[in-house]
Amino acid sequence: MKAPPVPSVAEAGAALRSGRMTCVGLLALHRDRIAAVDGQVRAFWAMDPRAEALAAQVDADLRAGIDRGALHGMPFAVKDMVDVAGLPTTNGSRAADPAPALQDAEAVRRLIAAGAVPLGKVATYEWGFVGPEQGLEHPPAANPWNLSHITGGSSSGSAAAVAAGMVRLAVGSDTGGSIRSPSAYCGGVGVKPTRGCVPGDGFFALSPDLDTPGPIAATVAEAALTLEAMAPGASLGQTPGIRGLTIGYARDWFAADPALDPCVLVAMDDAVSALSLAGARIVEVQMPDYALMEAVGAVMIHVQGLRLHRDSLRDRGHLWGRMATQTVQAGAVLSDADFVAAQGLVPGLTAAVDAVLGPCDAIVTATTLTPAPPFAAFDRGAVWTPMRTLPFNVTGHPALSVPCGFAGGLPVGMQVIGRHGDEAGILRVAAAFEAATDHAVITAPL
Amino acid sequence: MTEADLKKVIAAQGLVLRDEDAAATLATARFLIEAARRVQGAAR
Repeated sequence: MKAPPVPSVAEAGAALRSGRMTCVGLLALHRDRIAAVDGQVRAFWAMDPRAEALAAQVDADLRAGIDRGALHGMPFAVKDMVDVAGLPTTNGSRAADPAPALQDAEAVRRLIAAGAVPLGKVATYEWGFVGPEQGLEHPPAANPWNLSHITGGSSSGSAAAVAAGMVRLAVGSDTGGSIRSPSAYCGGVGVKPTRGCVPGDGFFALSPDLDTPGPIAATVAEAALTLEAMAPGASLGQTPGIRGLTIGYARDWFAADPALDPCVLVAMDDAVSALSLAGARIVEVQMPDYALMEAVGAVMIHVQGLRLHRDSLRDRGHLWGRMATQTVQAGAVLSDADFVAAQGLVPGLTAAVDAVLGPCDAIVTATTLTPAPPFAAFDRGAVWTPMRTLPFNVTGHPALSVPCGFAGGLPVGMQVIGRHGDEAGILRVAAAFEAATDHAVITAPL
Repeated sequence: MTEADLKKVIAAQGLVLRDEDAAATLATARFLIEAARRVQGAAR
């Protein structure tokens, strides 16, 4: 019989504290599940050799009455753009420095300090840019809901590992949607916090103005716990329920897009109805021009991306994959003046989103406009996957994706956006939605 | 912008546009040129 999905943080925590399970035993459950399904999903690229010793320490701590809280003993996965001591940070590229990282990224260090156990490194797109590409050092991760479909990226392995029940918690990073879009495609909860909320030390940069570390988890509560460990105070102060809140529904912002899958609109409309039934007041809101916000983000990413990678492309370009090469080199058509112009628009766009949020407690809209495409769509190279995520990297507002339905048997996500610093608010909306629906209990058929 | 133009722009960065990458890079480059046009237009 195939090893089942790993227990939730709440279930595992209760078992650890009652003595029904040890952390070493919990780790074994994770390894059994990985052995059972990762041959198909391909999320994990390297295992952390410290895991057993750290798990044994957790057991010793608990026996001694030392309890570090809800994450004590919980295994977590780390996107392979993030430093984990003793393992190389491959960034999905043969051109990356093969030397092992000397220390954990600060966010990883904080999770370990909270008692969580680093399980291993998981798949990413090359340099976090674009994918999936076959023929690189590691094959791309596959969507646990349909293995012939992509996970999205670049936190591809983080989302896939959670969706496949190999781990409940993962670390990711988001520059234009790289936490939220794979979360939507794979049916997980992914949080891009306010820019600067989670320290980026030890995270390989893609576009320093837009990069944001954050968690991907199986449920809202588990995402909140992970975020809290990565950024103490970030998700505190959540009030249960959304009765009396005003939620702005940015429907027009995506509903007329010709790339939209109609099932996404149905799922979003149903999701908003659920929020209304849960007691929120729904108002339709008009967002700033998406095309301009996307343009600002694209200019910033590609100018900064080329600056960061020019030397590597020049000296080690023969080791790069084709998609990342094509994407990064294209930035050569942009100028420093374009970047300055883009940066100059950020305050105005930020204020425009703040104005929409003025009378609302949060905004909801689609995360992606389609479910995960098939791998076959990428046979000839990178394909633009329509979403509504990049604007909130530009403005820095916190935004998360929570599962809200299905399209063609694949998950789709609702994006919840809040005021700067209001991670608790967006988590509150997502938690209420999750509690009012059954999306969190439907698992991938692996 | 043509592939030949793009080749020169990329060469100015000290990089080489391989023939196998030309079409895909050009598609992204045209998207970015339009993005920059939109940004510069809004910035005025």
